[in-house]
Amino acid sequence: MGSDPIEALAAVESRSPGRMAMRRFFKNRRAVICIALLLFVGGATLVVPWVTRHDYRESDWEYTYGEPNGKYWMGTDAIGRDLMVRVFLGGRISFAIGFLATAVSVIIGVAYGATSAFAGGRIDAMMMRFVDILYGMPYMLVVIIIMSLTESKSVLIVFFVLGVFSWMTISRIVRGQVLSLREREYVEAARALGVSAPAIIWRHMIPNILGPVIVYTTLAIPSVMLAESFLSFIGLGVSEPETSWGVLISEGQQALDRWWFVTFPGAALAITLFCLNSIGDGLRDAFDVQQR
Amino acid sequence: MLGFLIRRFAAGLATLFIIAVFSFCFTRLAPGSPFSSERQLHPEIIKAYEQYYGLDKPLYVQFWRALKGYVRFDFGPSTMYRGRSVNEYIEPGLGKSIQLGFLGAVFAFLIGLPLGVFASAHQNRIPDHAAMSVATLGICVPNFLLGPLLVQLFSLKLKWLPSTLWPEDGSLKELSKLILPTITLAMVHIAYISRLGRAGMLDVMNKDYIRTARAKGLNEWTVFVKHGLKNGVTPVVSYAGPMVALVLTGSIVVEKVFAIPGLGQHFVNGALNRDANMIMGCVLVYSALVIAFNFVVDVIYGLLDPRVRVS
Amino acid sequence: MSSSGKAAGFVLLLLAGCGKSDSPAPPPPPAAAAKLAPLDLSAPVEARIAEARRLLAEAGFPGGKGFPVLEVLYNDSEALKKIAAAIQQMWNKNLGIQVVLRNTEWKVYLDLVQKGRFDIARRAYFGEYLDPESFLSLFTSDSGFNSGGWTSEEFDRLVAASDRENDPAKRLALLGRAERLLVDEAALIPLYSGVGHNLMKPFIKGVYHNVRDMHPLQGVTLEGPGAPKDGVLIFNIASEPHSIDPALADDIASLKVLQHVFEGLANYEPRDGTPVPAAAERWDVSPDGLRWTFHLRPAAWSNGDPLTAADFAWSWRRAIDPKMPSAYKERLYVVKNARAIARGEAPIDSLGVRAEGDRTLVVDLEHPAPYFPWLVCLMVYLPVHRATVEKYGDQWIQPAHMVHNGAYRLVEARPAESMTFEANPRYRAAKDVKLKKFVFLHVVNDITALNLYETGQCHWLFRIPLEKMDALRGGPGHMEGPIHASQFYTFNLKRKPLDDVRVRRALALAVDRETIVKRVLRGGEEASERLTPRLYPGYEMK
Repeated sequence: MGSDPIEALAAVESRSPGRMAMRRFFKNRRAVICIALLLFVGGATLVVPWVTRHDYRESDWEYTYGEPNGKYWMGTDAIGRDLMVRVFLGGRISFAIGFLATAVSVIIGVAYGATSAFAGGRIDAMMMRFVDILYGMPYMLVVIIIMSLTESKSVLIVFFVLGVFSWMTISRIVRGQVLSLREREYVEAARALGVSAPAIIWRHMIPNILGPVIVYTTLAIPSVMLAESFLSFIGLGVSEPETSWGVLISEGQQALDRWWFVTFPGAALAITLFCLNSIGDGLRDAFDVQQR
Repeated sequence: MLGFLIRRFAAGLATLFIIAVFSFCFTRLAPGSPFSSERQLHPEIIKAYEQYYGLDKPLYVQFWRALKGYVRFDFGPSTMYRGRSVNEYIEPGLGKSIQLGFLGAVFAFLIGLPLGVFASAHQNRIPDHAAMSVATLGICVPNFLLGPLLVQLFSLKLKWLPSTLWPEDGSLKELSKLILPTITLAMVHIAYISRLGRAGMLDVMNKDYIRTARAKGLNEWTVFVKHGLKNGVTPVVSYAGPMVALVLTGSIVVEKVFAIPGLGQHFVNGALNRDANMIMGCVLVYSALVIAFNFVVDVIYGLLDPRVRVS
Repeated sequence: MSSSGKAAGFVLLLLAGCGKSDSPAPPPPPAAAAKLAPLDLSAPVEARIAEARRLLAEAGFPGGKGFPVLEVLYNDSEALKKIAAAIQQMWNKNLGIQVVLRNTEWKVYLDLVQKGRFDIARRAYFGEYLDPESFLSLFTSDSGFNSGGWTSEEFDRLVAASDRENDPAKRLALLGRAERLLVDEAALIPLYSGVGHNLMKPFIKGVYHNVRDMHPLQGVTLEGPGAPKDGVLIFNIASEPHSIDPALADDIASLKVLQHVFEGLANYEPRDGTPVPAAAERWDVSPDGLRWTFHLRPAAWSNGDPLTAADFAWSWRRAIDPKMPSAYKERLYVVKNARAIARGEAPIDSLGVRAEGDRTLVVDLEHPAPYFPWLVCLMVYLPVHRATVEKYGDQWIQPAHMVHNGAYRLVEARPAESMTFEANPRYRAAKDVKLKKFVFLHVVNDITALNLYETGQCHWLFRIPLEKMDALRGGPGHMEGPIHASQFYTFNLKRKPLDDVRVRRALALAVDRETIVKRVLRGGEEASERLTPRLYPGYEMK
């Protein structure tokens, strides 16, 4: 190996922290299976409503409360609408809310946390004090108040409200990471060598922050999806004729003897949450070892 | 230390005040009037209502009066339940919510911690996978689905347990009414606690001082329990803080499903019926609980880890 | 004319290509506006849809092209959601138009409806007296309910004339014409008449279905297998009463409580829900219908004080006081000067009620109201004990202080949980009270209540969750029957093109209410082609 410089370089490249974490991740069988499963479910939410011959709003008045059969693979709901297309369309909305709300919270959180850490000193203290205060607020109560006070219940409002109230944790994580990284030897070394601040941020900090951020994101999505389904349960979720897994499950739990109302969306939600959590775990295991 | 305590306490009060202002503004500016009913109210009736509840005064006057009441723990009259004060609902409701939350938390720790430690002792072998999969399922089944499922199974089909309401007295039969709500409430926390416990234990068991202990010749059991457990469970302890807030929201669902008239129910009904005093009362009580609990946790942390006090 | 005859006539008109025609309508009243063909909502579905399409095209929206997207507003409820979704589809399929659905919580819904901020809104009403006027008065120009802006001088004239008409048959005829006008101008989309479902354990005897769905418990007994050994009936009233002060209460749960703790001049007969003498042993009405005289029975309050006519007079004045924040005082407006007093324009003492001696109560009305006995069963007309109220103020309703005259006394009230009642030994007919003790639960969630019922922790429900309707209907313990309630949708005429009567008629015609009732609700509701339920013998809409 030794004599070929390009090979040597390649060998060095492959030991970059990100790549090593990825390698470790892909060795985790459970996580990999879950990625496949998640893609399957996600793909189904995209494909099934497209190819199905049932419209999610159309009622079959002869077959309301219908059990699953050859025509309606997941049965029909109380007004005769095909549940399969509604489950997968609901999946689209649940995914959308999960991803978008988390995206909002991550963007706000990363920006806030990084700024606070870089500003340092009193500004940092003040910004973190503000986060502490927000932490003390019972977030769900505030969400409920806001949702019950807004007149329209569009998907946008839901994910915006959820996103705006979840950024605090990520900001703390990011701030902690940035603070600890600033002191690391290789950053000092880079500074001593004269590498510019943006370059330091880009090449050294971001890859190291990315780890926990990705892990957090992957774990935040399921909690946002659960939060959305909780809102649907108390009646503050997405409104007709759109639907989401939360809405379907809360409708279904009122009629448990019609098992197909709750089983399919419940299974879909459970699988999705399970996969996201396993992937997040896998990512955390992969990045974590590397942190030490 | 004292400075630390004072700072924390002040932060808590500040938070409470901000919450009060925020909730007050939102409830007063919201669409929907607490007095509307099917038939439109004639203006003279609306005027009578507003005078009775003091809603005809300017906002800052209303807020000031409300604040004076809060200091004496008096939350004012309810607009939903006319002629009755919000306190009449919050006081019994609070008791129930706290009891339920406490039971849920204790149960969660009692089951979750051993589960997590057990899993960590058999890392990556079958018991670990099994335990963690069960735990993850606890996160994946929402509590408003779990509750009705438990009721269907244990109450209606098997008839082992009563399904709802609150125990009338201390007899075993009445107390068994608490079993299903507690399990429903605790499930998601069992999941988180066991995962955190496992992660914390694994973290610690790989540390140098553990290796030193082993090298010293101590048996595995002593190493595990005496050295590992003490430090491995700190992530679980730190979960206690956020858990309080989560238990509070979880209790909203559990109270609805099991018809328990706790604080969560009153809050949601108040929000839906625009009963401003009820909303304020519930929000303030909840927030005070969360803040107080976090304060206690902070104090404990401050006692244990001096570094925290200066941060 | 029979309905099939009407349908045939309709189809003939259609085929003959005639548009608006005034031939089958009754002789037009003087100074009528544009004459409309009767809107036959009970014609076969295909005919209705065809007519709807034709009307829509005539209004300028052939096939639904160019029709704006309207919003249908309803309050949170599974059943209402399904109905709205069904109607949304029907309009889409039959007329080619799109509507969006909007659901809000109760208070927001009420606010929006009353401020007229809706396009099409779901409404419902439970008539408090068994008379078509209880529903028709909702649509007069000055009614607080009528926020959609539909007005008709002719309608107002007919309803006001019915108020002054003493002959019952002529009165019903006037009201029938008013309703015909209402439906023809499509001020609303009738949907269905309410059905009451009660689920009771088999050991409960003495409960009958009635159209008010009001069941005084005095005559109820618990006998047979399964009857609770402590003899306590547990009934879920499904919500916390808003108040147990008769002047402040405004909801059904409160009425259920108050009718047992207090006794008004009349109360509901268990078998058919009609008002029968209670605190009053009889009453007479003057020939002009304006003066009612109630003769009270000898009776006492729970603390031994005699119950007098002065108690009633004082209580009514207390309720009408402009400072009393009571939504329900509007039910007193039929009494002379009540409205003016509530507005602060007249002194409280001018209320048209006075006591003549201890046992005679004389009431003067603003206009004849043959349904007055129904009204005196309501909360605002119940007597309260003056000395107690004056002594304790707001706290007089605490169980320890309360003085009352009804068959039961409130023993314990657990906020948002339950209320416990025991027979009142001082009640004037205490020996006739068979049920000695009962408990009201306040469980709101229908499914939870059903669980309680099935595990025996509750004996009686008066609401069944929609999802369980199929399983429970006709089963043991189920009691079903029509109730005096009506469900419909109203239009906001300020929103174009809803000001065009052809558009409204088209929308009303295109709703397949039979399917909604049979497939969505499945509770035995009756699809309705008019506002009022079919509960009045001798009344016809024409």
